[in-house]
Amino acid sequence: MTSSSGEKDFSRREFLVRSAKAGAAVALAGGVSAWLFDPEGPRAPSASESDLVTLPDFSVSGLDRKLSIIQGADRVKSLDVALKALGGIEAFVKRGDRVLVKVNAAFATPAILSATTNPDLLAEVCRRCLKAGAASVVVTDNPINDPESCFSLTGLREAAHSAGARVILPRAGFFRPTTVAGGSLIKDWPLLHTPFQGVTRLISIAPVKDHNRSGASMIMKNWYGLLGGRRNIFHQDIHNTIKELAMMVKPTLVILDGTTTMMTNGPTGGSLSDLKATNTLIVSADQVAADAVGATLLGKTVSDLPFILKAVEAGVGTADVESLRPVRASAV
Amino acid sequence: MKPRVNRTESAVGLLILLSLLGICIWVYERQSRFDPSVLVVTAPQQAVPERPASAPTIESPFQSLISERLSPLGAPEQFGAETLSEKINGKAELYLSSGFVSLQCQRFAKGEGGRAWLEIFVYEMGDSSGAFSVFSSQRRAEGEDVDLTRFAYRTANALFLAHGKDYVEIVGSEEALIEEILAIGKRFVDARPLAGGETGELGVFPPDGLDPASITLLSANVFGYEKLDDTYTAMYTSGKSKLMAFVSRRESSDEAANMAAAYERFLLDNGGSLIESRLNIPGVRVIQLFDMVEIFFNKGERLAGVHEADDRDAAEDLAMNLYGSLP
Repeated sequence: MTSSSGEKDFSRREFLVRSAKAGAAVALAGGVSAWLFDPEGPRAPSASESDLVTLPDFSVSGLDRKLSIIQGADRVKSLDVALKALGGIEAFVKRGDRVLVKVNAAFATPAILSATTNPDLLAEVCRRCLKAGAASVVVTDNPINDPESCFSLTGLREAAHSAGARVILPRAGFFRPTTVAGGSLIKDWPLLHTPFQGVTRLISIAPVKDHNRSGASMIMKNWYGLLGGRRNIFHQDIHNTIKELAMMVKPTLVILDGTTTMMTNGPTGGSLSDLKATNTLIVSADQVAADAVGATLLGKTVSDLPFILKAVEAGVGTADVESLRPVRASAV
Repeated sequence: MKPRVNRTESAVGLLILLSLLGICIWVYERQSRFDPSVLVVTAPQQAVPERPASAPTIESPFQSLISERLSPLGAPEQFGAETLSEKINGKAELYLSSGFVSLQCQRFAKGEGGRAWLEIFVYEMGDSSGAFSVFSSQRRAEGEDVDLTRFAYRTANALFLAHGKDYVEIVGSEEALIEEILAIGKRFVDARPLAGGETGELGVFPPDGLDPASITLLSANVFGYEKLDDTYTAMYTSGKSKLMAFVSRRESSDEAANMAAAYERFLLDNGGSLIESRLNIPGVRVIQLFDMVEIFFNKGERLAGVHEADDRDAAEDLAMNLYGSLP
């Protein structure tokens, strides 16, 4: 058989043979694919596997019982007074340290709603760390809403950059499974881990907020932003989850911002009328003590917030604030 | 004669086969790699479209509400019951327990630079009671009523309203946006005329002394009694006394009677004592609870009464009015 162009065409037999070969190749590829396909997908590595990660202890020996409670409407001034009372940022951050600042960037809401870390406070903390000789300062969080919007609309990205810090947005490959030693809820759970590589100091900055499930969102609840996966399931046992989050992280310093407190409709708020000027900045190395003081700004006691007492029982810190001999001062 | 295959064809064929082999190896390797940022638990199938439509080309559901001064600051988002917490985190339970169906939201910027922006949230609840429940339970005391729909108020930077089965929040990044926000709210309400009677039990409260803004729907565990749910409460002023009336519509008159009896037992088990009634209401119970009185009765399908009143005389007057106003 010859085509009109003069080239030799396939014979009928040759056509059938080649079609059969092609069909066999397709069937083979499909069969091999079906054989290799794993319908359940990969599982998280189990606790017995060696690649489980835990965060190191970032606390500074001898400074773990420091607490200052400063009155004032100006966050920068309050921070200045609070840090001086604790020996300056230099007591916590040394030359060459690599600092990670964990903010609360949970929602893509404007800074005036106080649902997220205040950008001015973040910028000042970053500036002071770098001035103290920190080799680098990175700012991170795994927000509830999409990270790009959260960091830009809250003003946190701009604040960090203006102070010379770097923002690390969470990405898929940044998570590694962790298990909280002595815990029962956070097991083989994805932890935002990559930003911690090389980090020697950890500072948390969080606002004081009402929270529909836990009663309050402060420092200990802020570690929720280090988890990945479908973490909303932890809301079913929120108090024990917050306790385990506190067990998971041993920070260098925590800064609880009660300059403006979200009194109602937390954790998102939405209205300026949800806020109250409580003019208090709490700086401590003890995250439990910081939250115990923060509770009072919400008109609550530690017994109103079970996660605080649970954290005390777990040995994370103390709710007996006076035992730390807090420095109380005014920045006005 | 066997047709010839030239070298180019052979090379292309080989290249394609090698490419396919490479893709197979890559897919096989990827599927065996654990990625913890991806869902650990596979979510069940949802009737409602789930994760936000992130493509910027998707048409905004709010296009007809916004003025030409506003431009989208991001793509519209949609959340269902399984994903609501990805938007509002710990507040999701409040909505889920009130019949939440879906949330649509989107941000819009005003002017250059995107510094002034607002976000529209439209929560579709199962019915008007659900919308009213989330509206009333989050009501800001400083809110100022707005004449848009029956349940609407504004604060310095935001508008909140319940309209039919929708609960709407429009939140601005600054106070200067409030006029724009109110205009959006008006367009939303105007575009959705309601049939009468969509607000359930709200009309049964007698008007004398009523604070209309105080009407609240409690969906569960009402007054600490776990069996009592779906109860409307309203605050009244009578002289110097503040009183709370309540109405709970049950499935039938028998169930209303049973609930009244069960609520009586609950109160007696918790330190209350039954005292003699001075009211001409069939089956009324008056229970002294410490230094307060609880008055309640069942009428038709409803359990109703006055909760924890300091002033017995005022509470009895209100109970009589309430009894008279119930159908």
